[in-house]
Amino acid sequence: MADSVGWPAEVIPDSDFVFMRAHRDHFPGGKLAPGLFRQRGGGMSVDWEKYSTPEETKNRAKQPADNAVVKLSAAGIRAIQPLRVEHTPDYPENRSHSDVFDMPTDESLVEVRVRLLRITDVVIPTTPTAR
Amino acid sequence: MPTAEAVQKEWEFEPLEAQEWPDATPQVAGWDEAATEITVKLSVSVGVHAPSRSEKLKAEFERAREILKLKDDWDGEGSVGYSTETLDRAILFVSTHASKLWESFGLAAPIPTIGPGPDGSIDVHWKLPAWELLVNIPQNSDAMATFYGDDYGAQKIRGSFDPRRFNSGVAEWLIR
Repeated sequence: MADSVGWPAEVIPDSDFVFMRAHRDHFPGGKLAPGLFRQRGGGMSVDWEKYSTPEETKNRAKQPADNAVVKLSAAGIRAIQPLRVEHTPDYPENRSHSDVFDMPTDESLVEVRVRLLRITDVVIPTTPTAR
Repeated sequence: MPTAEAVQKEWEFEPLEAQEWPDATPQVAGWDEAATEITVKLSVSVGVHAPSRSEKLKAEFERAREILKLKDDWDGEGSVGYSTETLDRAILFVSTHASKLWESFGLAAPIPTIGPGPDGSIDVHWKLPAWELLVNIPQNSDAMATFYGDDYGAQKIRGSFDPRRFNSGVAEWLIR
């Protein structure tokens, strides 16, 4: 499906990965914590690797130096019920933009966050600069 | 989904006299193989003495106060900041359970990581080699805390409870 002006939304294959920024404060005690995973607006924003590098994802932050970048597999996300990951390009800013939809709003959110953390790998760590 | 109240009814405590566990360092000399195995198992499940744990817990509480520096939009992505009241409830939850386990059973709970959660809530997270447990303390003081844990296999625990009260289901998980 194509926007009237812009980029078409494509299907993200299970074999692909998506990137996500992780602010340095999501690493309490130096380890990535499940607090990273939260819905903002309609979904949880991620960048599809087809159209973004980890560095580009990092540089889209307001303060890139304060952010790490993590990656999650599309298949891994889809294996966590009821999550969906879909390409939602943001024309003309970010063709890679995608969303993880259906993050629970009830008590099952804690389970979903634990399971998301397990399929997450840090691809760009935070830099040890002072705040 | 079982609530804290439901779980509590199923598991009543019989207060026991607190007693010290053997030192975590295996005392191999002069022990036979079976005794050594038991000591190692105790070291894994109980860990070191509570006084040492107490210092580590205190250090974690101190570190967790960094969360209070996170104001609205602290991550540049619109996340809300954290209140002292929410952090205090998280600390009270952890200290209540750690104290009760030590006083009633002489068991030292593992040290969690306390970190920022979604929407002004605070996460209390235990990630151990044999199990994981996440407890979320909500920003709203009238709301229930929610939790999920598993042993990376078939055993799971989930539900909600009042974080100002001792929850035996969560406590049981902490001393697995």
